[in-house]
Amino acid sequence: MTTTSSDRILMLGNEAIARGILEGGASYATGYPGNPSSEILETLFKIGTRHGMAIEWSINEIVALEAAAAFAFSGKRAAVTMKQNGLNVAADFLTTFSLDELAGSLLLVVCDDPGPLTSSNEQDSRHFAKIAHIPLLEPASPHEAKEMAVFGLHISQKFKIPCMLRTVSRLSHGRGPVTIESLLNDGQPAHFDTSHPKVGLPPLVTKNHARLVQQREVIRNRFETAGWNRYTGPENASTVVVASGLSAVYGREAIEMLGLTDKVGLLKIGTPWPIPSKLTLSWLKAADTVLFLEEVDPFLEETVKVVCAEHADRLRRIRFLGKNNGFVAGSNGPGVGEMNTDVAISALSRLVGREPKRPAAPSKALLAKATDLLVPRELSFCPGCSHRASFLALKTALEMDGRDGFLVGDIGCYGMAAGTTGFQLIKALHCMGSGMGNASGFSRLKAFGFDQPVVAVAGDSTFFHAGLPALANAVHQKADAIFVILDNAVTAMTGFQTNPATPASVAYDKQMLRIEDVADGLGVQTEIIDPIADVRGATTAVLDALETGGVRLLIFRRECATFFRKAFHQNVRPVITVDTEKCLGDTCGCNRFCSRVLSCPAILFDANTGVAQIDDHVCTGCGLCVQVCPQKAILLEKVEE
Amino acid sequence: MSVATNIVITGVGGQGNVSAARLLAIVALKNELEVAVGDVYGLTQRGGSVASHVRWCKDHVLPPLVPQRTLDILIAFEPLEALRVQTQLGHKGTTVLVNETPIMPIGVQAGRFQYPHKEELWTLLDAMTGSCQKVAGSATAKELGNIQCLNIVMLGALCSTGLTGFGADVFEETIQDEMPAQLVDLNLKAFRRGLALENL
Repeated sequence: MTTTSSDRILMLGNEAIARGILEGGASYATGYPGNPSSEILETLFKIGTRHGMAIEWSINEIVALEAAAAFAFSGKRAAVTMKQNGLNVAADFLTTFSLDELAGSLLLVVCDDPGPLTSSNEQDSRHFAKIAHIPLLEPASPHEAKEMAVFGLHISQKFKIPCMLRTVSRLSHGRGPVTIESLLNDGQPAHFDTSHPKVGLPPLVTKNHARLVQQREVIRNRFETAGWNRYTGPENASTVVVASGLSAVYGREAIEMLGLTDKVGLLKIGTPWPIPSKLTLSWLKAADTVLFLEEVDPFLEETVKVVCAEHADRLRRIRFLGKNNGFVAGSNGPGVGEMNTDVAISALSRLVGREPKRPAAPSKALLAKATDLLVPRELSFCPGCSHRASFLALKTALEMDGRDGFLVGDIGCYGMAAGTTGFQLIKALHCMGSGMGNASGFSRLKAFGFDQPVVAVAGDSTFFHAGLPALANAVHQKADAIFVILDNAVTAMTGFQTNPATPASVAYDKQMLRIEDVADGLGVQTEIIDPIADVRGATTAVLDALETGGVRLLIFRRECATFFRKAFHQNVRPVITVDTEKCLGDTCGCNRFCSRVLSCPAILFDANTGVAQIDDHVCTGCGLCVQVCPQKAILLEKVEE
Repeated sequence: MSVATNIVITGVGGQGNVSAARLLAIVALKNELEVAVGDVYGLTQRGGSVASHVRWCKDHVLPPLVPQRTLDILIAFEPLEALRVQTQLGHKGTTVLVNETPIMPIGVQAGRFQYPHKEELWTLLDAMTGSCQKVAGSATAKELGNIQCLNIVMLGALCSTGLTGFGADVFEETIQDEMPAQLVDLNLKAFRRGLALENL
């Protein structure tokens, strides 16, 4: 966060939410990292700790929510953060927890990733607010996100139920000016009132469910006057754009660029559930055309349509345009991909029959030429990343085995092994720990003539998040399953958050857990190998496991090169060089193994001299290339600094 | 027409576009403007294309993404990325400042793709833009002893065009306020070198 000369501070959406959580008096914040939500808790670690706030990266999202609930039960305020996939993990608790009458408050922050930009699904989390009967807030700017976090914590306590704040990637990762205010100190002693148990037994469920339904109407009334819901445009507009969150800002820009500000109204909704129906009806009373802008699903669209259907006698005959009839659609169709000003312009242009004035685009011939030249920037593992060695070992072992084997995995840096950087080895990739669960089932397929070897890979954080039940299941079912845990000691993909496998020295002094101890407790045989130091040993271990039955757990352990290079300064720097006499280049027959097969950003091929070259600026000196060069032309020396 | 000033700072993950965009936005904020920044990236640690959208106007909240064909100024830390963003968002009036040093994509290093020929790339950028100016950004940053200050050299080059209307003093004050103390001198030097650079 940044102070400026005025009292407005430029903040990332996620930083603004963190500030709102602090201003709203939360004394506990939990979560599990996931793009685009991770910076909220990271910011709180920086700014919340000094205000006495307890903060944790929990083991997974449901545990994060369950832990935070304890504060809400006991009169305190708490916040929980996660991405859309994480909400699915937490949903089981959420949909029972929302039945409780809270003494404190709980703000559930869920950051959706339309597009998706970095996720394994494209999901609209707003549906969960409806399923759990909890109020939903959708901010349009970082400043509004901060205000809504504060408001959410207040109304949660006032109405005694959790409140959900939903953002999208562009809001969470966008920056804008935010005005800050003082922090609330709730001053409440923490106490659990045992005369009000939070128990989901059927008779109480019925009573609490009835209360939730009543409460929904009370909250709807409260939202009628919430400042987040605003209409701009002409009185009695016949065409009204109804938009929620950031989509309202895209909508406004589209209306302006088309010169329609005095013709088309914009109803911005910040509280899509429960929708303020009186306010909605009042701005639609003269409308004959209503166009919806939102991300991802037609959630607002369907909600508003129900309100309109129920009060059709007070409205004109309305033509609804949105995702359901395909009128509002990006290049991949309605409800797929992100909303932006251009998608909003395309829908409005169709409606009014003209395009906005914009400068001329480069000619089609030039654009075609450009498209032709635009080489993609594919992703690769970082220089020094242990996954490069791990997947080389797995590839070699599966090829030597020769039975069309493959990997099943999940999301994390190693998920990139579904692409070229990991030899496209991963053939099934879904949610946290899914490969480990898949492995039990593939083992059962043997009874049906299946003879392909399957290896499940998962990271260290994933192992604790969702791998433990899958491993216990494999043991319990007496499966023949091979698990390779790619342990780099940090939750790297989402920005290097700590987890139980992270050394305490960098993990806020938390208790470190060892994967091998857990496996040992389950009676699983474990082998630990550093895949970079001994890539051949890693290959042999996989081959051995492929020939042995039962549950086998290999831990490929090497600290994340990118994170730990920053965390620890080393006195001895390994330096890699190429012996240009020994490197035979294209005449070697190795198919440029170092630069082409390893795909390491630090290894270049100099077309002029016809030999490999090391980019010393990015090379970490891991030495994997030294081991695999058939000519022993790559050399490693240690340089003292 | 868009009422906003629309700028994109693009490059390859790790080149510092996010912090350059943040500094530029703070400069705009200090000029009492409404600012929005959107960082467009996937997995930036890992060699991907990145772009930060910086937008400002006088009086209302803007979306964090620049609409197509409304890009006023493109600052590219890498030539191929200049072409990528110009193709998506640019028009024939866009002013482009490009650091002239290419960074090879991993697919080029691995021999799967070819990086465009230098002359072909520059000719195309010239034809697609209002003005395309090459900047010796990487060379200048290296001379200053730290390639990481390339982003601030480029901010200096932007300021020297006068297109933002922001004075160098506000940029310098922002660098002083916002950068870690041990990097302030280096980055002030980088900014001033960028300011004084003759575009190639």
